[in-house]
Amino acid sequence: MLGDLDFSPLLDSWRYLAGGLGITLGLSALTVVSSLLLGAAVGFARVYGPVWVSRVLTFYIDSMRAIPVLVVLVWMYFAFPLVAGVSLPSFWAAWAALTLHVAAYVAEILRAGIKSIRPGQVRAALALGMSGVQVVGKVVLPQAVIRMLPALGSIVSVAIKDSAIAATIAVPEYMERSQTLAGQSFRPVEVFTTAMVVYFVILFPATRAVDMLYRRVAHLGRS
Amino acid sequence: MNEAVVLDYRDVRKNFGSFVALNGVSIRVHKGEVVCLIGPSGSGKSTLLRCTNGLEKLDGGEISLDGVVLPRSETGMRDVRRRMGMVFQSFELFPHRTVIANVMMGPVTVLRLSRDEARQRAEVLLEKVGLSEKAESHPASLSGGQQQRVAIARALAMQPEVMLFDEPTSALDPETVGEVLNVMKRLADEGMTMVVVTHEMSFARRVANRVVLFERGAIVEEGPPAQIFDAPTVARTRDFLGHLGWHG
Ligand SMILES: Nc1ncnc2c1ncn2[C@@H]1O[C@H](COP(=O)(O)OP(=O)(O)OP(=O)(O)O)[C@@H](O)[C@H]1O
Ligand SMILES: [Mg+2]
Repeated sequence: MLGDLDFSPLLDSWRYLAGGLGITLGLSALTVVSSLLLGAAVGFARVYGPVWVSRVLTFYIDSMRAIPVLVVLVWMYFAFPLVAGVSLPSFWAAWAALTLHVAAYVAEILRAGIKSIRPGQVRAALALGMSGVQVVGKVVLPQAVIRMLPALGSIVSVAIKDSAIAATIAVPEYMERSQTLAGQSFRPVEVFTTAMVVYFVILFPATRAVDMLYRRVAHLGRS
Repeated sequence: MNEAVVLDYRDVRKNFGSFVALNGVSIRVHKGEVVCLIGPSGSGKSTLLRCTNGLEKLDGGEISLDGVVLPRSETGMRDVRRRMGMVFQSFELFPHRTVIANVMMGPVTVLRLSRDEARQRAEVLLEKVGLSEKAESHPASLSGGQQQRVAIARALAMQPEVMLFDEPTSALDPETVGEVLNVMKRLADEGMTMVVVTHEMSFARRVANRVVLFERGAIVEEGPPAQIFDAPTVARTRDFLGHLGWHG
């Protein structure tokens, strides 16, 4: 059985797959950037905003944690155009769904990070005469971000891994192209094993790097 | 005491819900005076210090600094806070900044000094607390006593008119208590006005001009250390000191 392995279809179609990988990485990178921005805004508003804003945002975060990202994606692609009257190209529908989903986790990570800074640090900063914005920007946030590093690192891998579900709405990313190739070449073992290796090779060093960075700076976030 | 009144507490009241933390406290702190606040845990000493620089809002009475009643607004309090230095039991140095950056923080962000000026000021103060060689270290690598001396330097960098200390040595290993008390003693000798919450009775006795005993949010007795420690006029004072193992 294993002697029958034939990777030549992969080699023949490497440009096709590489193009898919490019789309995967592009979609993930956009998702990471937009969910960090949206998640930061949501997290800040939840911690420092008025109560009603905080309630609304808590509801959004809880929903995103309760609904599978696949459902959000399918809704965004098939239902949103009917509700809103604008249809999104599949790539942007995937980007919007992933962003909505991942940003909720970013917001939650940020909130936990901010809450983990003990009140004495804020008191000390206020006692120096700092404004609220200065206290957050110069004392709370730098420490919170250091503490958040491991969790934020995992957000990057979640974004890359979750981007694979964009295949279900035919975004021509790496997983979608792997499926196509596997179907055409009748070589699913080779094609999908390669897919696992490719995701692993991208993500393993990335998670390691974040861990190492964190170990080097962790002491700066301890108060 | 002919010196000007720096801090004037008049019938200060503070509640947490239905709990009365400060029940009408009046104290006058004159320029250059060292006032030590002593008393059992939960008696309201920290609360009084926090009310002084607006970290807690008063529920009654008022506090004046240099004859001007403290504002109630947050922005108004910010200007007042730069004129008071505060030192906490748990140091509260900023762990993501070096020692010298901690000391420069107030002058740079609040007083808008240039980095060069702030650095010069910080170097002088680190020298003063005996920690010049730790300037580029991070707080986590310092002993408790060293951290607290940095915290004092950080507060002094704002050139405050009065220093508030909330049990500055309670979190320290016994062997490092002395170095912090020495810095405080020197500060007092230089004429700094200080309000010190402390359980260090020998410090209160040596350095304080006046000792105030608190209980349940009210003053039990106040007077010069000789009176409080050797000839208390209130029986409760004798009990409290007896509990601490102080016998004259
Ligand atoms: N934010 C708060 N909310 C509710 N209760 C509080 C709060 N801060 C202080 N208290 C209560 O007020 C009382 C006085 O507290 P405070 O910290 O001023 O006492 P203290 O004299 O400094 O005691 P200690 O020697 O233990 O530091 C305590 O019973 C405390 O539980
Ligand atoms: Mg206290």
